[in-house]
Amino acid sequence: MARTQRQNNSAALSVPQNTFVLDNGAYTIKAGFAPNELLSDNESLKSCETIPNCLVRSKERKTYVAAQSNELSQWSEAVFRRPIENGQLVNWEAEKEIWDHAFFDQSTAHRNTFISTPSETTLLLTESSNVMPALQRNTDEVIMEEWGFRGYMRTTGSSLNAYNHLRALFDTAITPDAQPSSTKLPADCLLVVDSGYSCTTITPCFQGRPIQRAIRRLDFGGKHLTNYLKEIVSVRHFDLHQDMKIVNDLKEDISFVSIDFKRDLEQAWKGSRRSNKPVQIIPDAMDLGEDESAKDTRIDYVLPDGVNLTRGYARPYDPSREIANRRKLAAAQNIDEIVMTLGNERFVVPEIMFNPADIGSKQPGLADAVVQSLSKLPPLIQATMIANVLVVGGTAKIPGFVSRLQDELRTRIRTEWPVQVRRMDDPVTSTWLGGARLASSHQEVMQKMVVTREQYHEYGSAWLARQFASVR
Amino acid sequence: MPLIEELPVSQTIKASHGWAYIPDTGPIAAQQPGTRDRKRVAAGAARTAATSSAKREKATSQRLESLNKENYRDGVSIPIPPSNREKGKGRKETSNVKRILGYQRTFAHYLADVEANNPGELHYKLPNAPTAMGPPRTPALARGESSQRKASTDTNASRKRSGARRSIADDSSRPTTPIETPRRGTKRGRQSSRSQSISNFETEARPAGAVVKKEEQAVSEEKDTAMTDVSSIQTGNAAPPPSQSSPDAFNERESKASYPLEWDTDPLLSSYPSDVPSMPTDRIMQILISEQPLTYTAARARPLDEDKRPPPRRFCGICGYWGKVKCKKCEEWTCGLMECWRTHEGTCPMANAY
Repeated sequence: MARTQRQNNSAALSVPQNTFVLDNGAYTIKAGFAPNELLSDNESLKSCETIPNCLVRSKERKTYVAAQSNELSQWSEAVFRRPIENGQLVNWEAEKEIWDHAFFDQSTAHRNTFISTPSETTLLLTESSNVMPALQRNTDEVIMEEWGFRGYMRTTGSSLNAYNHLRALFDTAITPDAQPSSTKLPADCLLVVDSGYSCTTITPCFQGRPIQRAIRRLDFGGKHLTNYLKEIVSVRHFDLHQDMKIVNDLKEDISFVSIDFKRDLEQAWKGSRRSNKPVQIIPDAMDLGEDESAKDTRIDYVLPDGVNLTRGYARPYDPSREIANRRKLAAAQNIDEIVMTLGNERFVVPEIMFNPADIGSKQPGLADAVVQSLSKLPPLIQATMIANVLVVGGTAKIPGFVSRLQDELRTRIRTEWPVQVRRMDDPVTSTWLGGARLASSHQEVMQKMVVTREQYHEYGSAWLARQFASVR
Repeated sequence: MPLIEELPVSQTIKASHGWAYIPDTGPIAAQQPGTRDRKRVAAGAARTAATSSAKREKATSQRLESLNKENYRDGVSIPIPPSNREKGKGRKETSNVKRILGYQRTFAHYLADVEANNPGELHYKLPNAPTAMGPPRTPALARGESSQRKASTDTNASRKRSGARRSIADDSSRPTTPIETPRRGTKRGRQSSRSQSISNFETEARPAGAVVKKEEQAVSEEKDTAMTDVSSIQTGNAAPPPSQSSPDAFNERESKASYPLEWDTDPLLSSYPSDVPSMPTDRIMQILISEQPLTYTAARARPLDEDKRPPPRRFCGICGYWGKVKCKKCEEWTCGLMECWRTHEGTCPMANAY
């Protein structure tokens, strides 16, 4: 009964066309208004802003909220407070502060993200998978009662990716009826690997809806990689324990995932270089020539000091610098820049995503977790999913991540099934883009899923939770 | 990887009384003279092994915990800065919102709540009855739902059976589920009937003796049709093809075949294209989509079984190369280089420094 009432209601009060897509991530928020009609990806992305989702307190005990942290130059000994822990929004006090600052305050909000009249706007909010029901209820209540949005929809972020324009990535020219762009339906089968800050979630999506029984989570994400890198570098080079942001920048600048871990580790060993022995490369037909064997993974990194240099940068390894430095130290002169040489740290750190046993964790690697997730699906769906794997999230930006995942999956899946792992050009905003496309070109889906303010006040938050959880 | 800890600066060693504190590593069996009791010695050794591995376990878990930290200092609290901006049109917070904003609960509190409510829900349980879903349904919907439920338990049971027997890695292509067998049969019937119609032109003239060639052609035709089938499913135009008149096709083949037709379905001959798994029905897919989400702990990826796990790789704690040598005292791995070993000797936590 209530359901037909609701259908009547939603037909009567049309969901406002003005939709604000908010991808609430643990590290950054991606937010912006969805364009009114279907634009190309680059055009749509111009409306998207990336805002750090944290409060930072610097060494000088000054607190910065969200985007204010871009003004901070001295990152050493800064502490963070993040409202989202382990992917779930726990701390609403901090989150409200950040949202107020970024979206509702005209003096501090960016032009693209300023919401002047929430009562005329629909909010499309993403959350991570398997959020605890109490936290979902908190979120619903705060949003509906505090800002009074006209319409509201809460969904898992991974499933929004199905609305992206993916044909160009996955199409292998078998389909005779390929439309050039703007397919009206979401991708039928998509396996989303969302590798973010706090964790990595594997979500198979069918027609834009996640298949709940097959969602699996790996508790490794960008945060763990950064902490691991911090540990290693602090033991071997400089103590960077207090400099989380600096190590984060370091990780983004220098790390890569090696395709052949053994070969890269041999290459990076001090022992082989010392004895001037050429690194053992077994010659075979695939040998790519001299440059492969001479490829040096070492790199010099200049650390920022907050005064002259605000952000570190990398440059190619320069052996003469080491000798010059030693002479300088011997002469007790001042070194004007802090440089360290990094070799195997570059690829050992992301390796723990694929082999958590390296660090002693019992969790399975990423490829094994994908296989676990697939085993819960019917066989044909398995085959289709594995041919449509999309990697999103910040950690997907690491060079070599996608090809390594494809190689590892290839060894675990039967040969008859094709394996394709791809990522969008910018994996960070990929979910936001999916949400924007959903809002601009799939109005009928939005009509079904959005809840209006009147309905919330009439039926309450428990009803809201059931609405978002069930399929219509 | 050694734990980073702050050591006190002063190391005064008082030389006196002829005894010194040494770290307790359990009973030192070798130093007990005349222990003829092999059982006790063995138990002692086992206990040492257990405690040292327990220590190692604790060290690893501590290390993993430290990976999860946000800041270098625990218990750091950043109060919300008092803002001097007007609160957008004099917004008043409702009491509900004020209550939620004032929560001091952390993630661990919520997780403990969830685990208290769902004890032992570490493994996904098949839904026996769907939880209350939405406002009360009309009777028609309820009827449909109960039949769905029955179908779901059937399909769940059969899927579990097939899942247990057929993992991704193994190559067996024997039909296992009752649901899928008739579909596969019809599909094959359809394919052979289609190939039959195509090859019928050419074989009209030829005598039935050229049956082998036709069969080959039929198989290759089959492959072609099967490939486009797969691709069409992949692009999502998936309606399972209607099964055509399989009895007719079967009779035709029987009259023209010169060998027992059971040989066609011999599992040794089955190759992937003719063995495409069938598309699950819409009903199954609707059930899959509309299930309730798992709890937070149930959704975690499960560790692999003991025997399937690859052996753990060891790395040098100093430079990061493969760990070749294990320190006798603290069980830390080092590569073979002298400088790594010397560095470790200097910082070994179990070293008896006199």
